[in-house]
Amino acid sequence: MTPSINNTALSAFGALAPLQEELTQLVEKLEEIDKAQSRASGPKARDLLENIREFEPTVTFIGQVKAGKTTLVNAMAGYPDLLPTEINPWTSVVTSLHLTAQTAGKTDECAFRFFTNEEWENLLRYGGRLGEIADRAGAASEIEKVRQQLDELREKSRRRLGKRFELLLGQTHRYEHVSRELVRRYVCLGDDFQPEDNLFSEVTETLQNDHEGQFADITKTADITLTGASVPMPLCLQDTPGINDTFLVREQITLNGLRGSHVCVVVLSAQQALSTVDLGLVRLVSSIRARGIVIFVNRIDELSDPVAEVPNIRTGIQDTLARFGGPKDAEIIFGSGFWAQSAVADTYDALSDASTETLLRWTRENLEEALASASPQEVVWQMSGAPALGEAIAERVQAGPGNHLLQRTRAALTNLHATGQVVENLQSPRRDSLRSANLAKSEFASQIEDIKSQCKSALAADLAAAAHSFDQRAESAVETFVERALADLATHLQQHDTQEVWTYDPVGLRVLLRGAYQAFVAAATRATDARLADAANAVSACLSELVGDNTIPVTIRPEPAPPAPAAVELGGVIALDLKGSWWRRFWLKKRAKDAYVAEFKKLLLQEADALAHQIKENCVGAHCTRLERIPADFIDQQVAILFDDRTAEAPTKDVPQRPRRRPIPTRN
Amino acid sequence: MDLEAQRSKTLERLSSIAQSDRISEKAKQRCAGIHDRLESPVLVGILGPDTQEKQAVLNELLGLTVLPRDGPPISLEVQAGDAPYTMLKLADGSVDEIQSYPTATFLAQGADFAAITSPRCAELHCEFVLIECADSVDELREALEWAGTRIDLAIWCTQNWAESERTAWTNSAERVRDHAILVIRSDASEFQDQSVFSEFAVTAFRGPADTQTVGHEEKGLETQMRALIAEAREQDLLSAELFLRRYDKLAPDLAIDASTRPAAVETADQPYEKAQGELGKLFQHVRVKAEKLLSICADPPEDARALLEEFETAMSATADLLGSLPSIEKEWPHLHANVLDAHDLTVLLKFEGRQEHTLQCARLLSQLRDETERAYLACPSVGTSEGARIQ
Repeated sequence: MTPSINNTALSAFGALAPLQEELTQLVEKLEEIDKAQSRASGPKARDLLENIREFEPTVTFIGQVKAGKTTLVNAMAGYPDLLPTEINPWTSVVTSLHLTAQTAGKTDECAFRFFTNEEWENLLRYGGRLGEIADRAGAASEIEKVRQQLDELREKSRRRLGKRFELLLGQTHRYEHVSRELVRRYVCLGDDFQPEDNLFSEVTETLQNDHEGQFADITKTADITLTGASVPMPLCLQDTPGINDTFLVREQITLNGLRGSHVCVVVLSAQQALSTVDLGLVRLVSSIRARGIVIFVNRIDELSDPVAEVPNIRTGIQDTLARFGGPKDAEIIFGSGFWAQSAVADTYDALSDASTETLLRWTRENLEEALASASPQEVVWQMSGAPALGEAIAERVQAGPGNHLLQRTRAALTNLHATGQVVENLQSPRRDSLRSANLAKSEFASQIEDIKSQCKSALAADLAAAAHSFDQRAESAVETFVERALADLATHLQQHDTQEVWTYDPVGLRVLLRGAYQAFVAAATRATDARLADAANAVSACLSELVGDNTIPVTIRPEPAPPAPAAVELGGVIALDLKGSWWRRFWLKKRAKDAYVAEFKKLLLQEADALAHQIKENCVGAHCTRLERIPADFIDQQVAILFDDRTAEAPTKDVPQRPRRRPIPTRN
Repeated sequence: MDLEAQRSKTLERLSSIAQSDRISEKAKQRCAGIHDRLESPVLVGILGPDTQEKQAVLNELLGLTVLPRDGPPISLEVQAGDAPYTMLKLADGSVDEIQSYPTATFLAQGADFAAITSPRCAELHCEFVLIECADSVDELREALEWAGTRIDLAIWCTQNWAESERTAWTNSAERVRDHAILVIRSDASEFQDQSVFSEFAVTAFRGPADTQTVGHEEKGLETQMRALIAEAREQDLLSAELFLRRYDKLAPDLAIDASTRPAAVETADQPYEKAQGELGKLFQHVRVKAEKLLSICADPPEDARALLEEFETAMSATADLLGSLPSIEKEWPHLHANVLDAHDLTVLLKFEGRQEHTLQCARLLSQLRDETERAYLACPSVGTSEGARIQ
């Protein structure tokens, strides 16, 4: 079955059209260069084209269990019944819907990636993050418990997938079609299978059995490409698993999903919007800037009086966010994925009485004049909040990655013109002689090398200084935090019996580390922009000199520095977050009263250090490495066409397409 | 004591010092300079390529139609005076005048400069200069250079913040860029170059070119200009107070503090003075925050959490500001570390959220203020820029 699409004029992402238009204009200009003229600027133009064509902003949906995340994602995508919504909260699959309006040369397809051996081993042998934490805390008995549970899990998987299921690990299953059943086989965990399913066949050949959730245990990501979708530009909607799992495996998966994401939609349920139970969720998004977050309060269809309740819910959410270090000023939208789905599927007539009543109340309050003459379907769609959510997403895509791509491409385009003119000028017969031109060129090459190494070392020094400042700040933050926590512990021990469990919220530590990281990012961006501007100026001067004609100044514009990744590591659980039984048992371990402070000091330091270290390695270090190369790469790109041997040859007509990743034979 | 009373008192003191024999000739000159500055109104420069908008902004700020709607583009100044008056400098060098604000026909004589007098200026404590120029890097730059040594507050009128404007602006004197308002005549959604916002203290969108909006936004612009003027005047007063503190032992304690202006204007290229300017900014910031929050602490609200939140916000803003002042870490590493420590501790105290923590936060903030003040006052040239040069 092909997923049914019903998107008669209901597109959530119409607001992306202006961005797409601007990109299209750039594409046209680039294609012109690519086709028409100079063999010199062709390759660079093609690279820029490729950048635009590959541009696919990613929107990640995270949320409470039962917040109706998947229903919402389906409706937003315009495929009301694509992803299974009655999914067992135990699945750990990140599902990416790649939407594109394009149909020519593209087909619907999907790919399901399983955990690798290493990931699986890490999970089973060490118990994932929880094992790590327990290990750091020296809680051997805890590890034992985790192991037992993991053994059970492994047994279950074996029953499902056969004895040799481990052979599947690391594989990717690809299909050149998409169907609901296919998706369910990988991302939905149905009831337990009968053992005989797997008794007689190799696990890799049991596909004809076609069971729901057959591979769900070991599936890590699902990538579904849908062509002909109702989107102005390619867009990826990412549905993430819930986050409160025992082994904190899914948390890691969700964090990794957030790392590459451009906009994060936090889906909450109106019935229980952001209680203290959801601190994990607040924690998870606390590393992302408020500008990158939209909060969608779903299921207002279940409220009896949404008009009265919504303001309170809003205040409640803002309060919780402020109190627990979440993003302040994040936009909050109210709506119902269920209404959106019924609008998309054209089944709003079948809404229950209660839901219809709520819808009417909500509509009376919010209906604008413009909608007065709209069709019922359009009204339901508007009231569902899906269009507002789509608009908020589009706004963020436009202001963030969209703007960056535009700015970068525009600068590159101007530079392409400038360098193209230099090439033309050098080739013009007015030049004295080829020899002097060549001489100038070799002189030029060595100048460029000088500029490159200067910019590179200058930036490296700036970045090292910024990274050093981060280290110092992080170190001092960890110290201050541990001091505070121990002071709190001492007060607790004075006032209470040791039977009374002490907890200390590490949210402050996260806020401090986030601040330190943001300061680093600001300094690194400043330095990179400044060095890029230096590089652009120096190259301009060099090119002007090469042309040797004062009347033709050459101006190279700097490109904007790439944005820094969010420090998603901050969202990871550390021991202090575990306020449940695990922490309780750790606290109640028998020890002398004096030993509490010593033992907890060790634990606190280890946990805080681990967090700081992760950010240092994965964010600060990685970003530095990425930025360091930028001035040199930028300079290379500008002057490449001057040194390109192909400038002498005829242009090649057929440009080889970039190989697409498809190493594994597809299935049917 | 309100600022105006303090101002006249400070002026008096400056006059008496200028006449005494206790200070050097050079210091006397400096004293006279400070006196003049303090007495003279703030000069607002209206710049940028958008002629129509510049004229509209001037009218709005003055709160009356000084310039006729369909007048020609013209450079002009508006000074304080008892009654409306306009003098026109014509192209042939001759002068024409009327005892009113200019009319379109009066302006259409082909003049290149108009001097207008308005009673409104005294009320606003400021004077204006509007510079007409074509939208080219050279002309814009020339206008900025001229303005750079004269104006105290820049208002830049633009439609799309073109490349030429960017180039001219980024090359202009730091003094101009320090206090600047950007007025954009287009829709916020259509405006591309968002990075420009960080360059200006205030940015105002005023609708697309053909549907000029008036109403609350207009008032907003005026309010914001008034705030910047008040700040500039406060800083003048401050540098006067600091001068007095050095030369007149009887000067009252600092009522307002730190100024970056003297250092930034006169010796922007000397690294230490640049650092000192940054320290001045930091001190000013910490002082204002401390004053506000400590006064709240004197009569604390029931909800400790809200107050702790305020402390955290203030300290975060301070840490952010510190991030944009790179010299401080180099010149005053101790202070730098202490600001960050105080910030960290405040954040943690906020999340602990206990009633008694507000006191601790208050202590931290006042310690920080005192330390910044000590560092600032220890600078060789605070209050008098000769200090640094002579030593």
